[in-house]
Amino acid sequence: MNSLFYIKLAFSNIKKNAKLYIPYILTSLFTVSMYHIIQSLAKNDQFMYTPGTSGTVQVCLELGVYVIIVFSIIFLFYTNSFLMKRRKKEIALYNVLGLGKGHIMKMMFFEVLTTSLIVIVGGIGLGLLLSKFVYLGLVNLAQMNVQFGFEVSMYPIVMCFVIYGILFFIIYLFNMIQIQVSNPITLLRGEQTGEKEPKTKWIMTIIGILSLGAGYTIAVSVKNPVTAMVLFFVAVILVIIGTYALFTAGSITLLKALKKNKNYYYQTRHFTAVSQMIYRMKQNAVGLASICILYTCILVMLSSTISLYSSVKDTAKLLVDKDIQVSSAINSSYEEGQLKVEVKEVYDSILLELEKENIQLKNGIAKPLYQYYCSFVNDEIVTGPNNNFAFECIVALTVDEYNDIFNHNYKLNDHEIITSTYVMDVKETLKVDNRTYQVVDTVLDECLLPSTDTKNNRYIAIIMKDEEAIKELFNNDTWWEMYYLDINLVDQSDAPRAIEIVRSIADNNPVSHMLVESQLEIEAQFIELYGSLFFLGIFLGILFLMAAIIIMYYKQLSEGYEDQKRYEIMQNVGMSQYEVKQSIKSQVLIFFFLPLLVAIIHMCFAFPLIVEMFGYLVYSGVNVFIISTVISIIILIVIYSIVYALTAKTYYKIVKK
Amino acid sequence: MSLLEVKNLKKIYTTRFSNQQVQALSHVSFSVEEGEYVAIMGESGSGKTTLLNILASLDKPTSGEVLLNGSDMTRIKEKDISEFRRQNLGFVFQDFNLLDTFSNQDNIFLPLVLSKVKYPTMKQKLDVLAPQLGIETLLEKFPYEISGGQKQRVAVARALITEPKIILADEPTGALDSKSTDQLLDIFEKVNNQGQTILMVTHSTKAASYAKRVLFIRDGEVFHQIYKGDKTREEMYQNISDTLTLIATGGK
Repeated sequence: MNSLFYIKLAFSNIKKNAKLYIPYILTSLFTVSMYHIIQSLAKNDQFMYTPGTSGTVQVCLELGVYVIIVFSIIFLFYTNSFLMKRRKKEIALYNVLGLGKGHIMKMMFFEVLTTSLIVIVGGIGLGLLLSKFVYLGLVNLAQMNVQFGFEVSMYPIVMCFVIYGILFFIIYLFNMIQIQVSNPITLLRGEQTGEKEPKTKWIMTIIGILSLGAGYTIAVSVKNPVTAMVLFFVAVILVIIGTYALFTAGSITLLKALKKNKNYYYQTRHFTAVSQMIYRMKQNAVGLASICILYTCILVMLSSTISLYSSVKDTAKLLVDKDIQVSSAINSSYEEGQLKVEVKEVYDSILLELEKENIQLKNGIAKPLYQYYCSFVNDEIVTGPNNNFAFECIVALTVDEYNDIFNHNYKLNDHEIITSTYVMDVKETLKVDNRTYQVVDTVLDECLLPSTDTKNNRYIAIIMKDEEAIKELFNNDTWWEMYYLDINLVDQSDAPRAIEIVRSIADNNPVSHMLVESQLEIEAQFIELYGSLFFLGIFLGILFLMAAIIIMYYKQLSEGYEDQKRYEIMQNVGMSQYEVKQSIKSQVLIFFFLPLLVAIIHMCFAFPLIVEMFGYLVYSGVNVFIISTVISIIILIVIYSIVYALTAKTYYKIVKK
Repeated sequence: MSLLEVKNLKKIYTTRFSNQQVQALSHVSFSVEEGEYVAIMGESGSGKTTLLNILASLDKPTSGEVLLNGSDMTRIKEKDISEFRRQNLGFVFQDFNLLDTFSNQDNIFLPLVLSKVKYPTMKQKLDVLAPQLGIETLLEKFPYEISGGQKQRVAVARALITEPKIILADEPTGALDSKSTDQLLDIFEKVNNQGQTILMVTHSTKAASYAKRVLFIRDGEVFHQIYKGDKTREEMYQNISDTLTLIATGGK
């Protein structure tokens, strides 16, 4: 027998199993094209060399590449195992009819060769078609100024062939080992042997309840962002363990308990449902749990990236709450305040230059601030480094400087202070370490504090009689002094010009190193970062959703075949068409929506943790999170329901035969 | 009035892809009295299965009537058919048709559960039935754990537990070894002696020889019938076998 024969055989096999192979080929093809797209984006030179981009896009995309590779391995192995299960009988038949195992291996080699060629070549083709599209989407989301120019490069194509070629070959070897160790008679009987009713697994159930409970408890009880980061992963692992354990063991324990309750069990509606669900859960619990985890991933990814992206403006505003801020460090050990004078001169020249260029300022305030670490404890202040995971700081200035900058006329005596803060409730006296100060006034001057951000950078401004008093306040320790120039513009459209002017002077001054920050630039940076994260969220979301759907489709398909006989018998014994339909409907419904429901419950519990974790990065508040979570859930439900409707149809068709 | 009356039953199938018509039953008429045990014999393609399907209300005749207790089964509305079947008919199949997902006991309960009977009532009925069929020890087991003969006895229990007016058996011994066949036929004889009406379609001369009457079908018509009367089983067997030979050799 020559190779041509095997090739023909392989082709006809794929054709005959079209119902199984078409979804397999399509999903694998889609996976390859996703990989190809993200790989070619990650290797796109445009992102590297475009001025004004920081490379964060590249990093995000590289991350995406790895996620997709890992995902491909798991996903392709899973779908393959499903295919093999359905085809065992056919392969055994070939064996019985006289094809030796060697021949079967040869035949299957050509099958794998054909499918993987279709998948890889098709995937690259689709990838090439879509990548320009996706590229534009990414550029838009991240608002990058890149020249159009998306060229086909060899690297991603070669990588597709290498990675997926190897992967398919390993899968082939894996199948061969399975065929080698099996014998045709058991294979032939394979699907017919009655499956044992699963046993109640109490230990697993308890483990599941405990770890899920622990995961949830961690999620809802975390109170600060840094521990949230660490505990997030602990919670995730606990919840994953809990989900798997409860789906596999917990469900069966529950169903068995229902079955024991004779009055419940022997009711028309419960009778068939409960007994069939026991078997279904035994076969499918792992798949359902995986789907549930995938959905949770999708929800977390979508909701967090949507909220990051949609709150870019607020975030930028809170990080730099002035249109432009120039800052320069003046160390307290520097003598005689000479530097201060020189910096002031530079700042004055900046303001002068802006005026010359006809840029109208709402305000342009230069202020020296003495800064010292502290922590806020019950409306008192303890100086020194803190461990509250937030940057807490006293900024101080003398009353003369304060009057001078903000045009006031305050006079202060010893131990009298004026305070300004958003984070503390200041009473008539303020205790700092063991000293008590008389609070003469509390003020909220614009631009007095370095930033008004209240979540992670917490400030209190204290205005004192003179430098001696400030030194005493800081325990004569080394503090550091910052000299700020805060500029707010009347017309935001002047911003790019103003930034350019400020930079040109600040960057070239001979006096001191100055840092120029502007809302506009910060915003651009965040849009680039969050935009690419958002892009990645959508991209991986689609991929995961596809995976979940195809797993579901295969499940329904295989169950349809099994149920066909079952429902036929029930009809013979006197179950009506209507009852059959109802029974199918309720079971399919449970199967479809159980993972989604559990995923939504997971999401609800994960919510406080995610808010805490991203609280660092998102400044628009919890509402943005709630809205984006709800949006992601709705999107998921809509897509899912469509798929449900389609799948249920196929299922009915099979069962009704 | 007879329990079951079949009058001028005719069934014509039209094949799906051509207009060619196949006549499965040309005109079949017979009646079954209460407490009778009737076997229907005939070669493959003679129309036996079509007849049984119509009697089981799984299929509708082209023309003719099937009267059960005087009312016409063929006119029952689609949505009432299942209930009708549950209440009046009991089925025994060649391949048992037991569900692997149910224990044997639950398999037997299935028709009762569908009729919304309460558990204690079901249990009571089963407690009476199980010893008669010798399946007490099998109840907690699953169908895949027991032998073919045992399965068929469980299936008989499932058919009997609804106390049907008539039991329709389709080749009930077809998948059984000779010992199990004997057991099953003994059971059929026993329940028939208690008054249960049985209608059995079979190939097996031996199975038919247990019946009180044997109908022979050929080419969609009732060709001949033999009453057991006072005959011994051996005589009956001989009679049936002679008739089959006659049919096979084409005698008219």
